[in-house]
Amino acid sequence: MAIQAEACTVKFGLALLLAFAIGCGGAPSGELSFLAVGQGDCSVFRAGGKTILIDVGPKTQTFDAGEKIVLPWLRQQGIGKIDMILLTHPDSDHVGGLAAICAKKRVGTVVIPGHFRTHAGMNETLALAGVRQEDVIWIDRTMEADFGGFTLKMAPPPWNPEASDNDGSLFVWIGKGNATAVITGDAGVETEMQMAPKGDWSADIIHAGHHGSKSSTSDAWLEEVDPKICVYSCGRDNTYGHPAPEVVDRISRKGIRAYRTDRDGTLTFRYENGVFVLRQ
Amino acid sequence: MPPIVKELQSRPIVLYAIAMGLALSCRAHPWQMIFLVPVLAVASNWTTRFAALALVFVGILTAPSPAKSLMEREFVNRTMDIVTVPRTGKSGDWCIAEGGGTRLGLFLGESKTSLSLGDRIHLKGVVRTLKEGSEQFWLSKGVIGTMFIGEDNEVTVLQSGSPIFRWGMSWRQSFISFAATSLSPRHARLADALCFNLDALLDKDLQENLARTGTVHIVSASGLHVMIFAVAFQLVLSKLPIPRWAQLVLLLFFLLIYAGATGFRPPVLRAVVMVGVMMSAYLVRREGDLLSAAGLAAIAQFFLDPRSVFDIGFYLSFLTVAALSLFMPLDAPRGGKEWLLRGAQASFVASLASAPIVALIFGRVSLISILANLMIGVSIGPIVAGGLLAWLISLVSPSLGGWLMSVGVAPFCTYLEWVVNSLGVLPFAAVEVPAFSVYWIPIFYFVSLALWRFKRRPAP
Repeated sequence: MAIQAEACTVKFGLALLLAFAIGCGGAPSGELSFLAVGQGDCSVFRAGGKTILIDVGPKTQTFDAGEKIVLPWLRQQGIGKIDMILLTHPDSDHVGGLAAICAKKRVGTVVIPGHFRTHAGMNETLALAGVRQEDVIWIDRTMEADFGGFTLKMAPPPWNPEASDNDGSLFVWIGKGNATAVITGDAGVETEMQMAPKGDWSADIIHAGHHGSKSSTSDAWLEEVDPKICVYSCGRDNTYGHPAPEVVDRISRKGIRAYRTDRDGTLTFRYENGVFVLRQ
Repeated sequence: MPPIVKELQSRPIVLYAIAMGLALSCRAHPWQMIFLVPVLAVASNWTTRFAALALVFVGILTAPSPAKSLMEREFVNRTMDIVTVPRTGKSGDWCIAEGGGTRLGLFLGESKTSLSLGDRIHLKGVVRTLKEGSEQFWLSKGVIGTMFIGEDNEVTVLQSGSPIFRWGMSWRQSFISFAATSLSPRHARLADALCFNLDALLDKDLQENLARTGTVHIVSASGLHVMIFAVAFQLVLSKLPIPRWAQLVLLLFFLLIYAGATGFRPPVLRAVVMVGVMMSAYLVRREGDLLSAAGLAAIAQFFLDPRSVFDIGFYLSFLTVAALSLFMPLDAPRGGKEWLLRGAQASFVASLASAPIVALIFGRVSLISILANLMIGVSIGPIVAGGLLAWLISLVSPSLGGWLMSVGVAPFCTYLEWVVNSLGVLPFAAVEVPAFSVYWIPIFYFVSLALWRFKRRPAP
């Protein structure tokens, strides 16, 4: 009798394990997340079972967002492999987490604007992360790709080495029907003006440039993108005063709904009925 | 009736602890109160049920609300109490102050201010918001913002707390200085970590390998350390011509100082209360009961700091002890082979009991923890007991104390490092575990308890 009872318990345990394995969930049909990585950027786009990281969070002497925030978040989401990492530009608040992520996750290709090919900082970051040159795609012109049914547009702006690294930031546009988003790294107002005529950048979600600094997200760029939602990716109590009151004012005057990663935490927009909807 | 029900019925204090824990978490997770039903159903009589409900009532009254981080810097000018023993982190010493319904993390930095548990202070300065990445850590302790003392921020001690904790901190400081002069910097950091829980200063590779080998518990003061200290101290006391009750008082007094020196974290408090209970049993010549002692320790912890209910160390500590008391044989091992087998058994039970929580929180489980714990087990006693003894001797003869450290402690440090670093780099040392729902945890423990059978005492 006792043996029978024990066997039942073991079966019950195995059934639970099976249910657990089944209940681990599937990949979403399209999901864009802006991670609360502090003063820096990291966005994750998932579609068709594939994952892209757009920037990988900051790293300082005492804090590595890749290790402390991005990796735990990826684990929580059940993401084991990253198909592509887009690095907008070489600043440490955008590429700092690369080494930690590459150490723990399988990474496919790394896409970087071609004008940073000889950038010492960028090459050092890649070397530290152990990224092989054959896994890097340096893009010199606008490229479009299908990514899980979404169009992924990557456009490097014109840039010269005398200019700030920020102004060489990669422009990224993701879209499917009315579910559209645009991310521009730390690109300044002039770069936005240069890029505006180079294609259709209209998007529902705009990621405020340079963490909401007053040097980005100009009126003209807002006219071009015509967003409904704005996301500021900035650190709590950051010393730069991001997002700048001027930008916040500009966004609110246009009736754009704004979210901040420092106050609202990680923000996830899911593709539902043809649009991106904020997941509660 | 499953055997575990009978076991719990004869230990109502365990049911009281579970009931109070559920009540304390009611503001954060109200629906968990549903688990009270089986707890009350297990109770054998109405007296037990009423007593459990009384503790539920206390729990509900003292239940902490989930903390929310400050969003903007805030100026404070108020009186607060220090509610933790200062600990050493990467950014220097820190402690937690409470007052006006809020808790703040205080970084003591380079300031010469010496704070201790129970101090009443006046704080004047700017509180910073919690930074992303460390937010969860602080919020679990109820802290909503941090302040760096010395950056135009002032702290004035209005009234000192119990001297016991100050003595503990002086002891810790004295040991650190002694270890720094008698051991290599690497070994000194390891000895500090093992003896006084100063794990933040260990090098990153060693920390990683400790985690991969499932041996990280050795550097965060736990019941093991308290046991080593208690056994070594009791061995000395038993040789002295003093009555048993005096031995108990002395032991508890020094354990309290040691607990203060190691940070007075839940696992340490648990072990101190349990040693107190077990030693009291020894005093009245009765057999102590580990599970009841753990239950009493949990209730004591809840009264001292209701936020322990959100502390991961609390759960790891109590679950491990509960599993050891339920699943380990009661008879004493005989001979070296049996000791070794018993050690492996204990390591297996402890690893299995803590695995679900470790997997949930840290996302990986060590596959070699049994072997690693067995291998390093022999070195922990000599490092902790030997280090403390050498320190004691150094007060009389610094050169003899230093010699003992370099001859008696350093080789074990080298051995421990070698084991951890050699095993930790093995590719199969640990496996990553995908994220899973927290609600699998009670299911796992439920199945484990359902599998439990009574232990049979061997015939004399």
